[in-house]
Amino acid sequence: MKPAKVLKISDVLVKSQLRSARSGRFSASFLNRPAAVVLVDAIAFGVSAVIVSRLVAFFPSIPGFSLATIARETLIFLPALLPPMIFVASLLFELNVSSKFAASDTLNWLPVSQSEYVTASALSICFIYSILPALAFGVTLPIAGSQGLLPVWVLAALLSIVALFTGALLVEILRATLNRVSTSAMGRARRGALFVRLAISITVIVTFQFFFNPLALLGLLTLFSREAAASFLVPFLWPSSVVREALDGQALWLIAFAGLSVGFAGFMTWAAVRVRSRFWSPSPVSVTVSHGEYTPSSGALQGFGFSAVESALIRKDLKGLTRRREMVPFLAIPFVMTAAFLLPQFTGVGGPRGPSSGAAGFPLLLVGGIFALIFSSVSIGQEGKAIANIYTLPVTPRQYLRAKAALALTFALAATAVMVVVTSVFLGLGEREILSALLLAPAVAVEETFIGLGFASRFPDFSERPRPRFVKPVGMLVAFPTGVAIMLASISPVIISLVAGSIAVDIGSIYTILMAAALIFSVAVSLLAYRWARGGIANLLRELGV
Amino acid sequence: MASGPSSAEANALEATSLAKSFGTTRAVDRLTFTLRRGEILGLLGPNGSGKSTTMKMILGILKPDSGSAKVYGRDVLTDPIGVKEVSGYVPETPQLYEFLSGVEYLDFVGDMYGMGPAAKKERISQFLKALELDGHENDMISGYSQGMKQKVTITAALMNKPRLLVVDEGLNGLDPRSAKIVKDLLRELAREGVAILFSTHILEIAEAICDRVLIMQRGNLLAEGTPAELRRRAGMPGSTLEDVFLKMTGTEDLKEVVEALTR
Repeated sequence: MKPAKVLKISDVLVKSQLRSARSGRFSASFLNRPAAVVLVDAIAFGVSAVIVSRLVAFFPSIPGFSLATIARETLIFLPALLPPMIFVASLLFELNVSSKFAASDTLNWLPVSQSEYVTASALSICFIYSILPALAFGVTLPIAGSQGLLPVWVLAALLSIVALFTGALLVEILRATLNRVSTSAMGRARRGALFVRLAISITVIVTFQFFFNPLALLGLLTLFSREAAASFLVPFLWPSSVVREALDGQALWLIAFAGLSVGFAGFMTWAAVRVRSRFWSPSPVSVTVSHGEYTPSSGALQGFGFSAVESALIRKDLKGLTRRREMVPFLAIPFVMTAAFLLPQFTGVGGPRGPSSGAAGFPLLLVGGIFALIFSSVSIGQEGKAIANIYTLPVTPRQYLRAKAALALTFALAATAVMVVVTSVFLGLGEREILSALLLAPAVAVEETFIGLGFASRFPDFSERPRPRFVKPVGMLVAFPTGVAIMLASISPVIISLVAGSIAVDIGSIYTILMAAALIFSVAVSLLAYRWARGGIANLLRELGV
Repeated sequence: MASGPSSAEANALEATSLAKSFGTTRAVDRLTFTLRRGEILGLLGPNGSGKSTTMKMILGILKPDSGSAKVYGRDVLTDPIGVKEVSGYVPETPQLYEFLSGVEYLDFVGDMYGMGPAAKKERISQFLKALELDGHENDMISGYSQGMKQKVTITAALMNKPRLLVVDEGLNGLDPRSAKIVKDLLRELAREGVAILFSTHILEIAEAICDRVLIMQRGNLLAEGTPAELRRRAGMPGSTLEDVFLKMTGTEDLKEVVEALTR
């Protein structure tokens, strides 16, 4: 492996990520250079450090807060935090390269070894998402500094970078594994094989999310061992163990865990190279989706009030969901989020184990809404270059909006229904909260669908290389906090009720008023978002971006 | 005595002072021309001369900065859907939904034009056979060759029996047999009254099938007429359209370029 070549490939991968959604006239812009990432990181680090250093001054005056405990826990937690964060970010933005481009990737025919490519790709992932550690380092620096733990902070930061790289290698392993799953349906596969491929892909993602989530693993192990020493068996927690031993002054254990951490990073590199060598298949896709004679499409959807054009658009997108590898991560989102929310409840990490009060389960009510937001945000950009068809065919903006909204809503409402049942039955919501959830959760799904479509129409990213993103980063950066803030406002009665219940305050008298206000708010937001999305789509379809 | 159609009725397409800029680049500069029913009009010009931009403006895919285009009396600015309903477009590069099979894609296109099941089936079967795609119609398009994708694109453009067909480098990637089939098909369609706007870099093809040609350069109309008229105007009787084209676009002296490339 030649380090210079690795760095060059990594540089190219970073540049292609930065420039993929921008037009040629910006090619000389500073924003297109990797140095821009460094600058953004430096700003994020500086701003977060300044804000937290101001907050730190107030901590001692708050009863019940021990800054020493917070410093200890954040430093230990820091290296364990980054792999799951990288995993979730990669799920949305890294694992969606289409098989067409994976097969024709230039690196497939250049003299680049698998180990060089894997290392370079992992480095580029670390670099692209370096804002995550920059923020984490900025937050923890003042806390550690206030307790005289700067040397431990430096150690934790170094180990976090090792953990970040290990997390990126995990993404590489998952990428190659998913490639293997999708190539299993190549050749003369039948339609059923495509569904099997989809199911396996989602299962692989959820399984990876579970088995490589340090908190989940630790929780699972402590279920059996009931001892904190179980962390010894979770490699992703070894960097955190180094920090813990440094804080406890256990030099021998520190060296042992440090050696194990570096060794684990080495093992992951080896494993990622092996998996890619074994599973990467740059062969073209050839799938037969039917063996029968052509039967014109049925008008079943027209029975639900859709026109022939809308029905055809819905059927087309539905087929894309089940057949396109790049769409799999989006379908996996509800499963991953549910697992992420439920695992701490059942494994006891981060709180009491087992079914608890409804307060712990309320985040699940957000799953349908978040799914609707993400799913609809990417629903226009996912057309890719084939969006040109929509411009050449007689499709009106209204038809396009109705088709996109119908599919997103169908999936979001299904996810919402499952989440309401899971939350109500397994996590013990009260009768009042269940009723609220039944009313508010679908309303949230509707409003988030139209908010997502508004952003999708205004910030679509039709580029397909190097990795399709479907929505421009600035769009997603604004859409997500906006959508979540509106979502939280919409379900505020449930939150207020749960908080009031936890501090034994009865809000029975105003609860109905809160519910009515929340529903009116949600309907108003939905109507406004619908109009915003309709305007965005009309504007988008006016002229094809060149 | 029955009189012939007026010029407005006879014209399938009327482009008036069409202009379009991208940033500081003037892609098309006040272009005016007409295309009659049953006529094949060749749009020729070097790379970047504005041919594709012109075609996209005519179909409502790009919005002109100024000027107008009418297709069978329908203004593309005020009635883009109406224009698309009577037009078919073969783009330079096939842009297909690659996760659909060939037949599923054509079925999708048929639905977009509001075609009934029987009409779709008849049209799809007819073209799959004619363009020799049968046997691959149920494969996902992602596995098709460039030529097969082009055949699907051509079929899609003809699904709704368009009255105006716009073909941008439509023979790209086709094997000689398929290219001959498409050329014959275009001539037949023209005989049936379909107006065809056809751009190509292969001037032999333009000479063979076009009734009239427009030569564009840097967004401007350089010359217009039948191949014979252009030869006469260039003072090159007996020469090929390629020679006339190279002379008119000022690129006839290629010797230096070739020498530089082989140095």
